[in-house]
Amino acid sequence: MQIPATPVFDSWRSTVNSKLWGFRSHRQLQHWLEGYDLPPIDSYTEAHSWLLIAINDQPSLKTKLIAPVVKLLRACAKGDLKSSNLERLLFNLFYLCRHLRDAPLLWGPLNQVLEAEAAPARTGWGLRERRYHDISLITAFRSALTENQGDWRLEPVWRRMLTNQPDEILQGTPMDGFEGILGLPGNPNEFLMGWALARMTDYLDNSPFREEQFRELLRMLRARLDVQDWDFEVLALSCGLRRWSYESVGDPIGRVTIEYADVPRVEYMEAGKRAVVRLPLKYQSLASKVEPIIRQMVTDFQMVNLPDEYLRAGIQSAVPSLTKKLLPSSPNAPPNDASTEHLIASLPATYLTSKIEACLR
Amino acid sequence: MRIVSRLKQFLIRDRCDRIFNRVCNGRHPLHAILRTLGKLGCHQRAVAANFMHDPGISDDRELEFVEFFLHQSKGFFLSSIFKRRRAKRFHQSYQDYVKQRVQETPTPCFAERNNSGNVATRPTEPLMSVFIINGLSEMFIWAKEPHVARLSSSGEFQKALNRFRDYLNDASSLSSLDFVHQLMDSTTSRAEFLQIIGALYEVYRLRRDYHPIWLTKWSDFEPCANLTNDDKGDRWCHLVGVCNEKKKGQWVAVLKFDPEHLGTLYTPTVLDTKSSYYFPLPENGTRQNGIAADLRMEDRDPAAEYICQWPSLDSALTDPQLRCSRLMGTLHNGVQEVRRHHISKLRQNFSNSRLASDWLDRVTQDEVS
Repeated sequence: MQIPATPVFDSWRSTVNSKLWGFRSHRQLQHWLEGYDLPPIDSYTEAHSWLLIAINDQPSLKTKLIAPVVKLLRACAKGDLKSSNLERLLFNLFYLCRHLRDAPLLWGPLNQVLEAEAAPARTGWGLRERRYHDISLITAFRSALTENQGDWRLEPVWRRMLTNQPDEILQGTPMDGFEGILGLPGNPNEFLMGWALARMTDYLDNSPFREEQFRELLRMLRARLDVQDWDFEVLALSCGLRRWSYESVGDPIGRVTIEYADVPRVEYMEAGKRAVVRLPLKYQSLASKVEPIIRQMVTDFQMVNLPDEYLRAGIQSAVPSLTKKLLPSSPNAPPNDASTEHLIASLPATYLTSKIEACLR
Repeated sequence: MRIVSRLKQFLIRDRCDRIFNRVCNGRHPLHAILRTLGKLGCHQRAVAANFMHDPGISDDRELEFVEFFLHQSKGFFLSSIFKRRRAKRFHQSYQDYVKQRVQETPTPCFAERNNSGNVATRPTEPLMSVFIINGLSEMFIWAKEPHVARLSSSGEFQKALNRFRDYLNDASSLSSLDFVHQLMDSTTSRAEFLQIIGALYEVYRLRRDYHPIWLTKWSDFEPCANLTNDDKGDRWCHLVGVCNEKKKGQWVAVLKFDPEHLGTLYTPTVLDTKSSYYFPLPENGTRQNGIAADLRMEDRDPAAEYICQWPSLDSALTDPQLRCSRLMGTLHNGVQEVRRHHISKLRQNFSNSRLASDWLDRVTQDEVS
């Protein structure tokens, strides 16, 4: 039996289309966001979802929605919103903003709401204390901010979230920090994202689903940004991703093969992205201590593309000095002075951190 | 003569004779509103007809509802000259009533004494419910809230929370589509995911009330239970009167319950749901169980329906292999066609009851007018 189409939703969408004209459109939008007159399909889908489904294939409808949304946000910032369903209204308004993704028009009003929340006189709505369906309204508001950033002023906030330091106003988990970084305008560069991924591997470290979850983050990254020139193996090493995540990005460890041979000096060879470092045999007993340092140096070198001679000399100077510290001192070996000792001991760390700080800036 | 009879019919139609199946006079607060509501669209018409004819509402419950409506309408009467606005305001009150007094309260009003006339006969066979997993997308967000980890020390609960660490801060049903599909697509991860949902829901339902659960007899579901076609999930929804429009891609699971593990079962009424696909049980002297309108209008006996307070999912059996399905969005018939078809089915079922036949005649008169 042929089942005819039931245009319940389409009928509702036509109504939305017709009612979003005029200076009272924000009142109608408020009415829907409070949960009234939604498509009579179910009772658990919230208004923002229905509106998003409506605009999914109708860009003109999305354009119509922005103006009343801005009006409601401004009213919210001024404390002028009147509603008997305030929590539901704000919950839906903020999650709707997330998907509208119109930073030029929404960033300003959203910041006004944030300023009201942050004001010492507590002129805001106390979004942290209000909940809808046991979800804090600050969670919904954070979502709106994430996808409508007009500048980088929240970047420090997202970075702190990524290190498990929730913001005083916006709260947030490391995942919220990750989303925030991803939502920065102009697209964050690979080093910032690499660092963010590394913090996420810290956050997911004790999750039984970590590998799968990390792959999902990579998929999200690839879908959102142009990463075709990014070297994820290098990022994994230089940004400090946890070892369990390496498999998802390639073979970072395998990029640098360290061999021990009967050679007088350090040798370095490249084959594509792979590198081989050959060390004199005398350092083999200290492999576990020196190899990570050398891998790091090679990774950094590959990132900045310095001449080979620089790297060879760097390893030659770093390794003997380090091994002097690690081996019993020979009576014939000249002692290192204090500054050299400090430099040698901290060489990999300062080099790495200074490189990352420069990239993050 | 024809003109006179048509005029009589017109006059009768324009006089709202009944509310909750009881004859009323023009001074009833809902008297004129329901007639106007019925002209606003086919779904509002269905709601209006349900209000006029549902015989399951006791006097006390009617009073409770009317008081709720009047309280909400305080200060509203300035606009009472506008009939459409009045009817719309009524519809909003109705939605608020169901949300506040039925759905989002630990003590839903269908479980109160003034609804005791709707206590259903507990069946001796299992009951089932169609559970839409994507309907829990808010729970996925909730799982990341800082206070949630402190709500339970159960190992299973803590492990379940981990699953959502990387879930996007997006409460829309659209965002849950890929996430849920990824986990439900393979039968191995499906079983684990259902356990995770069960563990979380056990705590979530204590923080966020949501009632009722709608149930059907397993024997009524059985003819659809072993379907193998891709849209079997849609068929399950339609059987129990659940609209699946715009739900393509969402996942459903059949939950099976032993009736002994459920609370008191009730025959549903118009005040227990906002759905315009709900159809009242005919007046027939008993309230053993409701009867769900089949949205596919198939030639088979309609399924029984019950409501009760949401139980723990621990008491539910699921079959990840056979009783989970992704909705294809197969459409069903319009609400008025479904109601007409349902009435014809009810006539067959209640052919021996004069009360029911008279009731169906009255409802039909309103349905076709």
